[in-house]
Amino acid sequence: MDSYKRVMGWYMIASLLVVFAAATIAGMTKYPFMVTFLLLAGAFLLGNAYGFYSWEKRLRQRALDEEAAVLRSQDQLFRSCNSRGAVKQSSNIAYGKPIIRLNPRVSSDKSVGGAEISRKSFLFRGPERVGDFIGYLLPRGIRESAFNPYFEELKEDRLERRAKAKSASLEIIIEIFFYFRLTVSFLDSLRVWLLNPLFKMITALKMLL
Amino acid sequence: MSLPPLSHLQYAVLDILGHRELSGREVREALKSRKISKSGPAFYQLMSRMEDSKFIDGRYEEKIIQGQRIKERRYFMKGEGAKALAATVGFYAQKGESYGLL
Repeated sequence: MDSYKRVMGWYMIASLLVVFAAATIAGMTKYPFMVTFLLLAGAFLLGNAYGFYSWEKRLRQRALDEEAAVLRSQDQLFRSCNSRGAVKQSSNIAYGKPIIRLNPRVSSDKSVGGAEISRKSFLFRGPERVGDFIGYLLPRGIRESAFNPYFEELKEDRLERRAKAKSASLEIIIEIFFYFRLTVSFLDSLRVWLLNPLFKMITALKMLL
Repeated sequence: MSLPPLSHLQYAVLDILGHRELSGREVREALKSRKISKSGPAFYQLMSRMEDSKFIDGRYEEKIIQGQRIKERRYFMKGEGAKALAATVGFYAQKGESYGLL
């Protein structure tokens, strides 16, 4: 049994215990509904704590993979440009990183630090990381079937819009719009997840009656 | 009374897909042009159920946009889907004939 299933098993047992505790405590307090709600919300968040943990681990691994991919593509690009004589690598090594310079005979003088491109692309991915984080608040089934494919669509749309944006203010508006759509899609995924069992129950009741 | 094997939404999705492979976004846009609007997650949940029913199959295709990897979900109709589509069309044709509409 993999660790996710094991944790989900414990989560279900803990949730049942919390439901019993909530029912007991709710009966003894002045605000039974509020106490029940708070306890159930607490159990839900605790259950997803493992999701956050594995998400962070996976994210670190993915960042390393991406960095390696960026470095590989940079290297390929440099080799291809170098073979055409478009760039030359500087003999001076600044802070341990090579300086790649366009050949002045081919183009105007522009230079870029070794890791600058990859650093830029990491900063650019910030909002997507937020999306990944929000996704892990959802149960696994609905995340994989409904949230993730739509999230990829949102990411694609955001990148296309950003490519067309000509000013910083427009980029900010695009980011705000992205966050708004992300929140709506999260709530919608929750709605789909909560409505499914409800409909199944109603159908089962109809069959019985 | 027997029922058609597909719901109206499932029928619309299979009719749009035909024998092509389309991305989720393209299918959603085609549905919108038929005035069927569904939110993103609800649409992908529908597609996931259709995959479970073996009517369609989906796969992720990697695209590079602005130097970033995007995994686009693409769908195509399976044999079971084509059979169900034909059965649904047959069902309504039979009903139309029995009511004297065709």
